[in-house]
Amino acid sequence: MTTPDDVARAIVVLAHPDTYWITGNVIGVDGGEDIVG
Amino acid sequence: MIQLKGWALALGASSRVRRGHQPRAGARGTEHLRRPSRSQGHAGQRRADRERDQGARPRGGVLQRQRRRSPRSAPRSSAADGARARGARRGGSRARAPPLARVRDAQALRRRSHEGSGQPVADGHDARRHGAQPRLLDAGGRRARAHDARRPHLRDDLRPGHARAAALRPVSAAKAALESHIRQLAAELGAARASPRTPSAPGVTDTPAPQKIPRHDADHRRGAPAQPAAGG
Repeated sequence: MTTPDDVARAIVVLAHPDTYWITGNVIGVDGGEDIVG
Repeated sequence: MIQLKGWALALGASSRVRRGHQPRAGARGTEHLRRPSRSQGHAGQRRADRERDQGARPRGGVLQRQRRRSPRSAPRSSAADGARARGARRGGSRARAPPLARVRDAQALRRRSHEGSGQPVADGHDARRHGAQPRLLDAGGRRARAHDARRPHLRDDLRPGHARAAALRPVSAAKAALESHIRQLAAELGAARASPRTPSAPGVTDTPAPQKIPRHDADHRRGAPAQPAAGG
């Protein structure tokens, strides 16, 4: 099950100034649930 | 040839039998050669043909136009038909549906009556277990049409094996909306040197809010594995 810490880490990555070139994207934080359907 | 002439004389139609044509003895499908064709000339002959054809009709059979009529109203005169048609034209909304449409409706009702019987139909849907069938709009039409077994691809997500896909329909819509919104924001705010991006965490996140739901632990353990990509 996804924990708040898992989502928080992804937000930290996306909010980092070094990732400014990532724009208009949606990063899945689901442990690969999309892959297995 | 002698035998063929005998047939023709017995039927009184010797002039219509082609010379030189002999059906093979014992060959199947020669019934049409033994019966004379329908007369085109004299009225008396046409009447005799009509009586002969009606006599050959199986007992108890009904014509197509008599199928949906009750036995009491089956013998209907042409004058009564005309009066009924005129009344239907004047009545507007009270006009009765044509007989063929009523036949189709009756078939649809019969199909729906099977669905509440607890017996699964041909495509595996049981209304008692899976709920009633929604009515779909026909392609290009406005009238709703009942489900039937000939179009199982339109309700694949309602089968028991696809129940999870049906349950994830709002999730898919939310994900598509999120992607669309973030793309639109990136297009609008890119000039301001802003770079919108977002995480997407579908599924259940273990926050304090769902912990207040009774039996949420059991539901989560059954429905959401700890690591979906790893198979559990």
